[in-house]
Amino acid sequence: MVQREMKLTAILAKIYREPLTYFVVLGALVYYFYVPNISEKDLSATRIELPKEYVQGQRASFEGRHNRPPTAKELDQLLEEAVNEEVLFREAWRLNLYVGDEVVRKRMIQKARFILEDANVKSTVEEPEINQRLAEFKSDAKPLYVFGFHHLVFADVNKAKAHLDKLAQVKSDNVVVEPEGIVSFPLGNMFSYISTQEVDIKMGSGFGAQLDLTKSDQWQGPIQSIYGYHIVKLTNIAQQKFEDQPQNREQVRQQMITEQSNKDWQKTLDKIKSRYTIVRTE
Amino acid sequence: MSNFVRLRSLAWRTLLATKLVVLGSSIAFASTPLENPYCNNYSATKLPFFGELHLHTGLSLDAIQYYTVATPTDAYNFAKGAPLILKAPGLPDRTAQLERKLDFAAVTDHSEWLASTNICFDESRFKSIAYYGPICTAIRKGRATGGQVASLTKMATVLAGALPNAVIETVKDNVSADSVPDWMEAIYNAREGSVCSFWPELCNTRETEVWTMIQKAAQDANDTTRNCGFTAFKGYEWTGTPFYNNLHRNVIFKNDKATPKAYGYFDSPTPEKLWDALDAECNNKGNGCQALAIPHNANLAGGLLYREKNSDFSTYTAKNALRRQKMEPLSEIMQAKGTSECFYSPGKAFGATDEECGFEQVVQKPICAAGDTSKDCVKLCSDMLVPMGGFIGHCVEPKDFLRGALRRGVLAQKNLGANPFKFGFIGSTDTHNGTAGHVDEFGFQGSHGTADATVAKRVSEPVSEGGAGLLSGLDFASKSRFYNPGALAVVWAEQNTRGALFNAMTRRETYATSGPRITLRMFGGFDLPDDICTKSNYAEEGYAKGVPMGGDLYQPALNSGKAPKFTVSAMKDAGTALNPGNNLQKIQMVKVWESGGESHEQVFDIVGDKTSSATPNLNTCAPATGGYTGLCTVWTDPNFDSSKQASYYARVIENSSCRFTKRQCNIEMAKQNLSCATIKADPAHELSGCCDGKAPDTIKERAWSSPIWYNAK
Repeated sequence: MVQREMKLTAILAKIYREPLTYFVVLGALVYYFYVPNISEKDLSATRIELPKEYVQGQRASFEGRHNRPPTAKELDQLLEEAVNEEVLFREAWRLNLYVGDEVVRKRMIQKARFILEDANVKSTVEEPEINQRLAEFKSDAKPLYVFGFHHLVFADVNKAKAHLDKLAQVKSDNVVVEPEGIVSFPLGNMFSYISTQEVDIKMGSGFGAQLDLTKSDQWQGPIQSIYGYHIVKLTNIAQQKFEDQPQNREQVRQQMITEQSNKDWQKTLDKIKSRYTIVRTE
Repeated sequence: MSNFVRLRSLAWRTLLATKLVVLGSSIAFASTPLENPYCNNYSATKLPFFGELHLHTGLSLDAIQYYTVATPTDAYNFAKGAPLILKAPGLPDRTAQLERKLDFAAVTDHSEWLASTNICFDESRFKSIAYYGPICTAIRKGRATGGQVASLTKMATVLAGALPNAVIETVKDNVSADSVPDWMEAIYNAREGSVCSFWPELCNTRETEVWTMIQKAAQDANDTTRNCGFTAFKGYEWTGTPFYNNLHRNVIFKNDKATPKAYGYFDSPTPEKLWDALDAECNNKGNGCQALAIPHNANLAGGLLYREKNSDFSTYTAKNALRRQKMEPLSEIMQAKGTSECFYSPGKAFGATDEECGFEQVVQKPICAAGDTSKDCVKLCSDMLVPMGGFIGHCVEPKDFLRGALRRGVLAQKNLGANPFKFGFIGSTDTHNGTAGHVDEFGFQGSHGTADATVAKRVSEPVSEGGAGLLSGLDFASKSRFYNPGALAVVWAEQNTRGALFNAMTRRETYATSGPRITLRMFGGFDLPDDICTKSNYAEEGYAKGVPMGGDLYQPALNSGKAPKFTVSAMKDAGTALNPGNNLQKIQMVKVWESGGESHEQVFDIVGDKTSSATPNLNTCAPATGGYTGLCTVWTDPNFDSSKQASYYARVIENSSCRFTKRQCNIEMAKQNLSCATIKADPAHELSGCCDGKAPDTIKERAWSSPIWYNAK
């Protein structure tokens, strides 16, 4: 007897430790509390069924709110409200009240779109496709350079040229040549590490392309920007590698998904539209 | 293998995976490297970094209710330049993408409903029982039927603010628990949307999970290589809205350390209690954690954001003032829901003479004269017995805007010896789409999910609500013509790391722009050279002989009575090849000071074209001709009085350009081949907002420097 009890305890303990038990119990609870809709199979019928699960769901819902089961009267009231709603819904349906209702129309359009999208629009891209796109980027991308950047900005191109000439005559960096006609540049005159792309952002589009990247540690220019005429000295020029960073990969993935979804959706829409005749009158 | 064994194995694997995820995230946190000591682009004279410190994702209840599904990781990727697909039921997908990436960002989801949102909109297969409960069902149903979205969002906010927490806390502190009236207890419990009242343990678990996820997203997005390409801060929004007045604050953490939970209004019912929690669980913890809070939308605060009073109505002492100064070194001057610099109100004591205060106001009415009860004007909050409904424009209070607060601050400095309102300026978007820093007037896709997902919605007249009731006003969220794409925060720092940016924020070396990437520098000092604008070492001279924006000037002992000089230098936004930047029109200096026990304000045009009438081509929105690519000057206050407390900030104004409503109407009308004549012929036309002349066609974009304070002896 004792042995049988011990065996039973062991079995119960095993069941208790078994994660599957929890999944099953949770599943049962979810099922129990899930509130199925009242049958909507035949909206023209005059018979309204309140299935057992529905009644139980209403009871559980009440209990959840009030920490006690509903009285018979309270449950009747709850169910009557549901019946009233259903009756009105069916009458509205019978009277075609959904016709011309903008909210219902939009909701149906939305549902149709969701269903069609789910069935026809691809929202994933495969890794090899991303790799291929990244490889294309790598081969097409203009080389990016990084460098130290020292510049002076002048309002007048001649003053910029004159200062450049003066600097060319000075052989040592220790000799300070005071510039004339300089324009204040609040962003700063020295950048220890900047790329051709960032130079474009700071000085305006196309500025980076005008830099002579073969001239290291020499003054060059004047180069015109929206702010004036720059004479520039670059240092430590190096080519930046195209990096397959996660954010690049993610960006490409997002782009490809957008392209693919738009393409799929347009195709789906065109296919459905082909069944319609569109008559346009100006 | 039998089905049972297979199923059991799956169950074990699921449990194990869950444990590993939790364990993995804690390992990742523990091994996170410290801030980079030195970035490749380090600059001793500092660089301007453009970003934002206020944005929401689908983790916020009022974002997911508008069908926003973006995660914090999506938002950070967007900030770094990745595209983000915006979905709205019944509408084609839209793709938003920044033309220029941001340097930094902080996702700041509302802390109050993190758990409820997660439970009610749980997309996983194993939903909690609470998911099927009446509150969650109602919230989801409201969202699905569309029309109730705004009201449900409002419901959540009203529940949070219906009875100010301070009142309930006071009652609870002073009477026995049994004596708290049932109705008060009911409201107290209902505030968290009931979900958490019924399922507190579930809520705690979910809140921890979501807060962990938010932090992990910031941690992953933060670039700790020497490239220092992007900085992501951990943060959240504290959303106190007593009597429907906006007292919100964004909390930003300096590094990978943060508080164990995102303390919201239900945990910390007053700003002081929020600071207490931040001090106890972060600033005074001794583990390197540091946090600050940034108030926003003074324009919708009902006059309660910058009072010199504690939440228990006691008057500030010097200690209170200094604490606030330390905890809140920044204020948000502009975002999608309008500008909070000042309110143009002719004939009133605040903002009376500055027409530029009319820039991007959500409340478009003048302040009512005494006794005027018409609907054509807006009440002054301080005229109401209990200020109410500031959040929906039911009342405004110009002296509670940022300039008013600066004025109160210099008075407090005089009277208390400490200034509670010594803050710098930043801008942000407050987007609820996860689209960090998407301030582009051309490509603006809305900022509140389905509420402004189409051009028609973005240009429509706001809906009037509530008649003459207590909460009457405008439901800005439903239709948002007077919203705008938002603003940017700019931080002058040596390098783009969390530490360097955060330090710059605490010393207020920041400024705000209404969107364009204008470069703005300001220094104040007694010995600044008059020819500094023609020096190649402008910044070095500025730092050597003065203080930057956000700094303090003290009268030197030997310079008795000498006026300080200010130099302001600004460069236009270079823009991009597709959208070149607009020229600058002028720089203004705004001075506030105390005298005779009162505060005053004055605006000076200090350089540029004072009366420019340059306007863009309204048909094409091509920019106006004229103006300046850069402006720089040295200015001295002609009315300086060395015995008076004062502060000065610069405002850079661009040439006039098309407002986003005009740009988007032009594009949409051309696309649909419509003219204003056609639209006006149909009073119910969805684009009627394009042609009714009620929204401005043009704006003058701008930048605001943080102030420099002159401290009289």
